[in-house]
This record gives sequence, structure tokens and C-alpha cells, in this order.
Amino acid sequence: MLMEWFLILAILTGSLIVLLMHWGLFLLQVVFAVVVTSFLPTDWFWGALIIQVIFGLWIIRQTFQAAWYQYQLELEKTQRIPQHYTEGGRSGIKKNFL
Amino acid sequence: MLKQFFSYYKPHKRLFIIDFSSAVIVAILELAFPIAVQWLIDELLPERDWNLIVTVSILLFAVYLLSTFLQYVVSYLGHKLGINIETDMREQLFTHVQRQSFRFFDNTKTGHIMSRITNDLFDIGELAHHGPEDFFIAIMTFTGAFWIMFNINPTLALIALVMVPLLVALVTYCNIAMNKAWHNMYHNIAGVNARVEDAVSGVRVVQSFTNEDFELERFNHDNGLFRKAKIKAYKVMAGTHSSIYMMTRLLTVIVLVVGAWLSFNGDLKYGELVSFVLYTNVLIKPIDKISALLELYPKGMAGFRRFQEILAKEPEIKNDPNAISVSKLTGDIQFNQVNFSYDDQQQVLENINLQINPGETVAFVGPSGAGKTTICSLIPRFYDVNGGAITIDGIDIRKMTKKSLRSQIGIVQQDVFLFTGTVRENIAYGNQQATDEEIIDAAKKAHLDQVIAKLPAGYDTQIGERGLKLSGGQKQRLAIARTFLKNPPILILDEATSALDTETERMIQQSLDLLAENRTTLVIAHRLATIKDADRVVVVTNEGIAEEGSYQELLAKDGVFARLHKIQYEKNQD
Repeated sequence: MLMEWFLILAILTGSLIVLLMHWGLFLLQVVFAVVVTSFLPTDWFWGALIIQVIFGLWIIRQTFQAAWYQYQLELEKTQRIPQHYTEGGRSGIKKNFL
Repeated sequence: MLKQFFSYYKPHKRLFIIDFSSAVIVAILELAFPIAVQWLIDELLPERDWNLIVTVSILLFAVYLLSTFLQYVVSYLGHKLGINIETDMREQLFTHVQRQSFRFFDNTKTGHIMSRITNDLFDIGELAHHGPEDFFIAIMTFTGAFWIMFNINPTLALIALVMVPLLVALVTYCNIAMNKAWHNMYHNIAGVNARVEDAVSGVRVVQSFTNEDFELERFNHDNGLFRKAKIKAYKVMAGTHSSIYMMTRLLTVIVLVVGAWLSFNGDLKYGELVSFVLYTNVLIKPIDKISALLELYPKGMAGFRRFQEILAKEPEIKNDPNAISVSKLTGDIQFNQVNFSYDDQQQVLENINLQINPGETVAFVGPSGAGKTTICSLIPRFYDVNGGAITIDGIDIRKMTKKSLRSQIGIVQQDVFLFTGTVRENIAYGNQQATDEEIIDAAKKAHLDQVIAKLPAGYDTQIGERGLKLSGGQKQRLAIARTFLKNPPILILDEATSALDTETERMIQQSLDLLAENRTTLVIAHRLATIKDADRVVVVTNEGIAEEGSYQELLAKDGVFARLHKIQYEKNQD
């Protein structure tokens, strides 16, 4: 059951990484999930699960930050706050949010 | 800020509770249906009890009916909640904007105010409806569906879950493509709007140059660009919908294939397989909702912040807590050492002392920008003085309520603003309670009755946008008529006849003279001929009040006024 829980967390974290559009990190998550489920000794599972939980929480934090960034961008584009991300004619659009 | 946002739900608490509860019940029912189907297949079918199956099916149908009704409630009441909040905010904003002083309007573009009152509030309304509800329901259904799937068969649940990142990727990229396409489309429709506005506003120029074909050509070009952009947007939309459909069907097929294999091995019952297939659809819906929310949230919250920023701008001119309501002033106006500046940098008026007696007609002359209009704008408190005081009948105007003070002052300006509507409605703007007789009387006094008699529908004739169908002189008479109807003891005529030809000016002047009778009248004029009958002339220059006296006295003085008079006289001679 521990493995299933790990996989659920890994897939959901992966989904959030996709939402943040960072393919490199997504690949890392896939590799980590494959290594843990295929090669890691059972005794080490708890460690992997804890790492996955911490990583998942960090990704959630990044998701909220991405939402905050979008909000700031909207304010900048409508001249409500001084330009920072859109200074010098930049669009402020990011390729990824990490 | 979220706390402030949610405070707008308070007046609609009941609506929110009904909407939210209905949405939660719908979500629970959506989660329960596949379980019911599974039970029917796995438990009832093998028993071959037809009556029980029919009974359960009827019950299931009843639950479906309930769910349909609740979905209607969620859709209707949810949107009602959103528009209610939007309406409250719009009313609050409009009231607030109306309370602002002239300085606010000097520094704020009309387009920005319009945008705050319309566009921003659309986004806020949508967020108010979809935000909390969709977020909660999406998390609930996704977790619930996965939890049930996981309990039925963990392996198959994990396989279904693997598809989620792929679906998220698809939805994310489709959203980006859709946004780009719609952005492009909006850009092009703005071009079409600008072209139409130009062509309609400038129709007289277009027709006088017989350039209709040229305008049509330009319009067709912009219209064509918009068509192309819209077709492209629809193409992207079609692609998005098809891709998402394909992905969900792919998930169904995968679940079917793996489920069938598990079933062959005895790890999954038939009913469980069917319920699993049904749950895949439940699992997918929240992804789309969350994705849409992530797009709506920044827009809505940014709109809310802009809305709050305007609300935070306290009206510069406020009623004093002890302000009194004045009803009938005599018009004894006094400026005591008045200082004023528009921007706290450049002093426009400095140490102005002036006494205007009740019933007196005082004309203000002088070069442009000297502060004549400013002096008159201070009396109704369109701006507040920076130093000194203005009193009327011995009462500081800041100690009067704004509404009562302004009810005692009538203003006729050079640029007459008329509202879209009938002649009657525009005259009655001076006094909403006026009877038809009073309106007709006011029109007669303004020498407007003969003009109205020639109009196709008389007093009920539509005057067009801002009085487009009326001439300059007719508009001015209408403005005079509505001031007659207001019947204020103090009158300000701000270059009321400057834009008119000499003949019309002479006729309007008669109406104005009649209007000024028995009122304290302040006249701002460039043409000195129009102020010959004024009791007193005040010459305002950049240094303040340079001269004061009767028309003849000032001429005899041979000062600034005499010089102005000479220049105008020579110009007229030329």
C-alpha cells in the first residue's frame, strides 16, 4: 500500500509540474518515481515517500506563487502597480513557473 | 483582500448557501451514480429479480431528476449570485464616482472609469460565482472519485491517474492557444469598432468629401481581418475540444482494456469495471474546472483590486459633519483672502478679496488662464479653496451641505451638455418635479417655444446624442430653459454666448438678461459688448484682481480693461 501512496503523490505532483510547464522537472519526477518503484529496496520506501511529500509541498507552494505572479502581471499590465516584470517592453509571459 | 472580497457575499448569504449546497449534493450524486450502477450489475442482476431491478431503476431515475433540478439551481442561482454581487459593486462604484470632486475627473480618464464599471466587474462577477464553488467541487469530486476508484481496484486507479498529467498538459496548452487566438480576435474587433466610430462620428466629413466607398473599403479590410482572426479562434477551439474529447476517450479505452484483463484474471467484477469507466469521466471534469479557475482568478482579483482602489479614493470635497442645509440664499457672496491651486505647485488664485451683493450682476473679464472660471468654480464647491474662505449670506460654503449649496446655483456654460432624450426631459433636468406648465413656461422665457413648435413631435422630439439635432443657439436656449426651471438665486454664466454668431448671441442675450433678473449673476465673458449692462466689471489677470468698477469707470481709468476694450474694438473695426 505504501507504494501506491507514493505513486499517487508522484502522479499528482507530476500533474502540478505540468501545470507549471517545466518539462525538465517533470522528467526528473518520472525518473524518481520509476527508480523508487522499480529499484529501491523496500526498507528505503519511507525515505522516498517523505522526499516525495516534501517535493510535492514545494510544488504546491510554487503553484500558488505562479498564481500570485499572474495576478501581479495583470496589475502591471493595467498600470495599477509600477512595472517590474513588464519593464522595457517585456511581455512578462514565462515559459515555465519554476 | 480575499476577506474583503467575501464580504460582498454577505447580503446574498442565503443564495450562496442554496447554490453551494446544491452544488455539493450534485457532486455527491455524481459520485454515487457509478456505485449504484455497480451494485445493480454485480448484486441485483445475478439474482434475476426483475421487480427489484425496476424499483431500483425508478429510484435511480428519481435521483437523476433531482440531480438535474439541482444542476439547474446551481447554474441559475450561481449566476444570479454572481450578477447580484456584480450589481452591488457597480452601484457602489457609480455612487462613489458621482461623489467625486472635479479634481478626480481632471486626473482620471473617462475610459478608465468606464472600464472599471463594466469590464472589470464582469470578471469579478464570474469569479464570485465560479471561484469558491468550482474550486471546492473540483477538489471534492476529484478526490472522491479517485478514492472510490482506488478502493475498487488500486492498480486500475493508478493507471487512470497516470493519464491525469497528460490531460493537464493538454488542457494547459490548449488554454494558452485559445488565449492567444481570442486575444488576437479582440485586437481585431477593436479595430473594427474604431473604424465604425470614426465613420459614424465623422459621417458629415465623409459625405462632404464623397468618400463613402473609401470608408467602405477601409471597413471591409478591418472586418476581413476580424473574420480571419475569428475563424482561426474557432479552429483552435475546435482543436481543443476534439483533443480533450480524444484524450478522455483514450482514458476510457485504456480503463476498459486493462479492466477487461483484470476481469479475466478475476480481480475485477463486471459492475466494478462499468463503474470504473463511469468514474473516469468524473475524474476528468475537475481538471478542466481548475484550469479555467487558474485563468479566471488573476483577472478577477486584479479587477477587484482596481475596484477597491477607486473606492479607496475619498471624495476630496465632503460635507462637514456639522454642515447645514440652506434653502433660500439671497446671493451675498464674499471671497475672503482666497488662495487656490489645482496641483499644489502653481498658485492660480492668491489672496482674492471680493464682495458681490445680492441681485448684482458682476462680469469677470481678462486673459485666458487668469482664473475667471476658477473663481466661479469655487462658489459651488467644485473645488475647495486652499486658503481663506468664501461665504454666502455670511455662511462659509464649507459649512453648507454640498447638495443644498449647489441647489442654489445655476450654471450656463459655453459647452452645453444635453442628455439623449426628448426636449421635455432635458428641460425637466433642471427640476425633476416640474409640471408640464412649468416646463412650457421655462421654454417660453428662454425663447425656445417657437423652436419647439417647429419640431416634429414638439416637446417629445428626440434631440439625439448630446443634442445633435439642435443648433448651437437652440442648445444654449435649452440650457437656459432648464436653469429657469431650477430657479436658483445665484447664476453663473460661463462664456454662455461665446460660441454663437452675433445674431444668435443677441437673441440668447435677451433670454440671459431675463434669467439674470433678481438673481446674483456672475458673468464670464470674452466679448466685452455682452457685459455693457453689468453692474460691475472685475478684471482678472495672472496677478489677481487688477481692476474693479463699472464698465464706463474702467474705460475712463485707461488700465487693463481699457486696453482689452481697445484691442477688441480694433479687431471688430478690421
